[in-house]
Amino acid sequence: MAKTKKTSVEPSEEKVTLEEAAIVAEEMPVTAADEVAEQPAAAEETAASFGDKVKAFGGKIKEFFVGVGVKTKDFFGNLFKKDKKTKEEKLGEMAVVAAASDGQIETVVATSLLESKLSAKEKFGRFCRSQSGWLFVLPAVILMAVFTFWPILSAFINAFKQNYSTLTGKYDGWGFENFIRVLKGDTGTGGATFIQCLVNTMVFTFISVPLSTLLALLISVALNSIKPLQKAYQTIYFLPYLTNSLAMGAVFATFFAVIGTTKNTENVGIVNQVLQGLGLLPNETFINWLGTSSPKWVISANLTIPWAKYIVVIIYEVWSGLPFKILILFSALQSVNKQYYDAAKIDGASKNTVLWKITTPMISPMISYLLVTGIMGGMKQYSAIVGLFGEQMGIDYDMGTMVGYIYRYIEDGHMGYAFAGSLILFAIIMIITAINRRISSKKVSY
Amino acid sequence: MKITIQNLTKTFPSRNKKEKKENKGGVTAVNDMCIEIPSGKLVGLLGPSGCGKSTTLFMLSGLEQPTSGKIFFDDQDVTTLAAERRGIGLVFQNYALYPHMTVEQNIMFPLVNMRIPKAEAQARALDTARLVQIEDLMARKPSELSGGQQQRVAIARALVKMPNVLLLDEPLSNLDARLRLQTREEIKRIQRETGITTVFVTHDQEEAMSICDTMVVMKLGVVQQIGAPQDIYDDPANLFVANFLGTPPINIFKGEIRKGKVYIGKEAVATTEIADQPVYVGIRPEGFIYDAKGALTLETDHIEVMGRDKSIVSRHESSTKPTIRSIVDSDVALPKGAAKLTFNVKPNKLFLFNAETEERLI
Amino acid sequence: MAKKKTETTNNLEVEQIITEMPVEASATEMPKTVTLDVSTDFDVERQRKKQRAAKITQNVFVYIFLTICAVLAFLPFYWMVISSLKTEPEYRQSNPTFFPHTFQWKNYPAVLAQSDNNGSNFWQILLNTLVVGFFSTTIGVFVTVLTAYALARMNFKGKNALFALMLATMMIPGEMYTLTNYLTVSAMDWQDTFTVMIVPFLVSVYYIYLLRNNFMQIPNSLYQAAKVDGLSDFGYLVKVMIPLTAPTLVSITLLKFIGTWNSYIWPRLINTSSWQMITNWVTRGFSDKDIMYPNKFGDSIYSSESLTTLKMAAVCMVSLPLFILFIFCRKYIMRGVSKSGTKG
Repeated sequence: MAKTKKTSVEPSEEKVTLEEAAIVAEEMPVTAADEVAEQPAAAEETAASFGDKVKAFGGKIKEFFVGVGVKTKDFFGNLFKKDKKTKEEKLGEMAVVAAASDGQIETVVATSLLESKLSAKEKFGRFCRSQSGWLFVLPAVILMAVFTFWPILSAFINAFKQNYSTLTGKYDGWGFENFIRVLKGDTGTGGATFIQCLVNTMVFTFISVPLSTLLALLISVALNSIKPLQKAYQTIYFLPYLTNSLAMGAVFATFFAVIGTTKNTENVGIVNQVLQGLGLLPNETFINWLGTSSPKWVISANLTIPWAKYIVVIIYEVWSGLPFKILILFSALQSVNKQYYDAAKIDGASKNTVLWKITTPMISPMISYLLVTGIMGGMKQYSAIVGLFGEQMGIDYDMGTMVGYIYRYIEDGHMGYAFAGSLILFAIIMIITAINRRISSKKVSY
Repeated sequence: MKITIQNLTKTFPSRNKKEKKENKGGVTAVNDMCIEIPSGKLVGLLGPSGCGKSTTLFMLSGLEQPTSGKIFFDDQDVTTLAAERRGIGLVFQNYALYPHMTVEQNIMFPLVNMRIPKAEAQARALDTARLVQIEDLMARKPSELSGGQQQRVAIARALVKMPNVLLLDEPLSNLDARLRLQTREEIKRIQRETGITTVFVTHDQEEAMSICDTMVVMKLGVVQQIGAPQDIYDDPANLFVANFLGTPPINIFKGEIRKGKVYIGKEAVATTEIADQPVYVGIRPEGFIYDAKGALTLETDHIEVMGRDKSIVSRHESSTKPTIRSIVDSDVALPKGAAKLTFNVKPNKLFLFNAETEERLI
Repeated sequence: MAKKKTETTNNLEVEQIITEMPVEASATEMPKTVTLDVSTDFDVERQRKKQRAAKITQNVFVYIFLTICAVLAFLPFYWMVISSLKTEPEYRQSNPTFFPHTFQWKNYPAVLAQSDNNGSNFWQILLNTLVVGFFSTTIGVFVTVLTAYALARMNFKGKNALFALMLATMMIPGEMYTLTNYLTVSAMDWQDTFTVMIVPFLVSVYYIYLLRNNFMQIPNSLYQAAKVDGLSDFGYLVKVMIPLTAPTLVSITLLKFIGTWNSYIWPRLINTSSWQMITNWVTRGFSDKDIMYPNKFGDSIYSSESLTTLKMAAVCMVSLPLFILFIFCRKYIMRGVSKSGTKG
């Protein structure tokens, strides 16, 4: 605990942004390891007996949640009702008073006065009381232990088990085989390899995130420069945020989809229609945007461009990424001191100059925040692809993302590959974080 | 460039929505202002906070649009012209230096916007930096500069494009006392060297008096008096102006004119030809002459010896302020521990104001 | 007076008559003579005309740009709604219509009437989602408030370490938990229950973090004042802290509920097709079963194929509650989102 005290984040994190929180979090690996190591016994158990344990533990949790209403009621009742002089009540109240008064002067005085008169037993009692905060965080700690901390540890363990079967809990020793197979694409199940999924993810993310950030910047600046209708536009731009990415993926798919019937009627998708109307596509030629293996009665999707599918994903990603970015950038713009714009006016700067030389640098912290969170989010994208291309993620998972890859192998029952994949994803996210930190620490902030 | 302001009025609409709709309840920051600022002069707009001086400056700059009235640069009407097209330089109260640019980039920014070739822009930036003596700081960021240095950068940025008019908004308010003295000399020097018509805003009368060629004293959006600092000091138009100028401030007594004599309490301190009426009598601190048989008796509170002169703090029942300050030469021998001192009053340091309109009578 | 014409290409074409001011340089202060040109004349009329033109063009351009973007942002919703109201033949015709010729309201009852092989239908799934949403939101918010309160206002050993550890988990991709959680809940036989949908997602570190920071912003003097007024600690939490942070709590509640509404991966992974959530429902195919288009085209395509118009009707129904929520709680949602940045 002494170690953790030293790395305490307490004084500075009053107004930490998500990014900073991530940085703080990153600085804590030692602590994290220490804490997680509180369950070393469980880690060494064989999988079979572990299963039982988990079951038992799960039962307890179930109980806990069934009784949680009653228990908390009692808990608070005992702790804070003044007329009921139970021991816990006194303890809790003292502790809370001590804890909640930041100045702590009263407590310190009281402590020093009482210190000499207390026996060892009483001292111990007082120590326990001062820890009543744990009661408050207990539900969260238990839940996190089971559903967050343990899984993280378990992922590190299971990824190294060879031929791990979730049904029997048996595995053939330890090693890097899962990682090697995942990276080599030698998983024996066909479909997109992890590397292909990685490339897909990178392509989607590194094109769509900067693009939507740039567009969001332009829209926010335009929005910031008008007065009438500002609220209305703001609301419209925010709408896509609330949608369900799967549902809207399905809607986007209809824009690009080529469907038809045997009886002369055919629909080549509105995008093809528009392109044709604009004369960008030769007559009777349509792009098979979604790359679907055409239904037998469709004759018109006669142009298959390999990267057309990527365009569809990127358009969707830009569209769905805009609302959040506009929201953030618009509020950032409104907090820029108006005086700089006045100064720029006096200095005769054109609107263009103001945008690129004043506005953008002024809100650059927010822009980089959006780029970083956008890239982090992009690395984890999945459901949009399912919405657009169906649960097979294109043809035989060829539009798969890294997360898609992981889920695919969970469903297949090849847990080892899924674990290895998730660790690689974790490593990639850590690398991106590290790069971001390096870049942002080099940038001279003003 | 000569600046002419004609009937300039600025009314800010009320925050209250209902009142705004009915077009009333707003605040008139500047009311029917008419002044003429001669070319090449340094003019100070002086007044307490909220008197409309900054609003006037921003209307001159084009950042604020007047509600009515006109502004002329020489004889051209620039009233509706936007700030970026007026060819003015403005130094903001907080300088508004672009924090992400170096000093050089900051100074060059207006030139870059005028599409002046880089080499020429750099040369001009350097020239201007020399003028304000910051040529050694060109590579720094504003956050690495002291307040006084930032101030100079802001002036350089305003000057570099050779403005028609230089406007300064409370240029010294963010500096500490010593820097303030130094910088105001500097501003005077720069203005003299460049000959640019300069308007600056301040609430500090000492500052205004020390560097202005012409001073405009304002109160609640209305111009009270225009003139050279010394003239205004010696010849204030009304009680407000008399009160506002001078440190220590003027002493004001409730008095009365009876039969050609000015009475404070029961003592006649001066003679006048004005008809009998109640008046405010203003006496500058330096207007008191100690005289054992003087006309005005003051109850002495204490005496501050300040080297060059002595400041006598005293009381009088007719005074509108709790204490009266009179300054006499340090050579003047004052009786020790006297509870009362009597003074004569220098006629040119005594002003009479109408008790109701507060306008100057003499 | 030297007359010099400065021709610049920018919009500030100013014909300047420049006065060169010889400067009296004092030897000590000014080592070099500095010459500053002062322009004393410019063409106001020309400037004014340009100014007006520029202003109008700019405004027109800005509004056109914003409108185009708004239309593009809104288009998918429009398309979704009109597609859900078209008949399937109209939807499939080669020239897409931007407004339905005939309103096929029947699409909606047709979608609602669908049930899969396990007999689970829309109503069952909606009920699942609402129950899960209610419990995971209320219990989740309760846990969040308790934890945030302890982290913000109480002192106990290891608090900082615990908080840092919680923050550290925000770095880790959720998929890493999902894997083991899948094994855990399978081992506990929780499949196809409400528990499996609620319990694993009760703790959300980010909301705890958000609320804790909110609690910390409440000045301590308020606590002391409350004590003087005879308020107990729990009373203080309920009567002072919670009302003061109500906007954040509302935001958290809304976002948590939206998160439940949009959950897709977990139910799909854990539960059988008979126990699904509303979003999973959308991804299934909706076929006509010969009700609306009985052999219209002389073949049986429509009876077996899933119909896009029906799917769009389903998408509309799933999206509608979110929009209603947005209309009523726009302020809280936008506020919460701009603070948290996590989707759902």
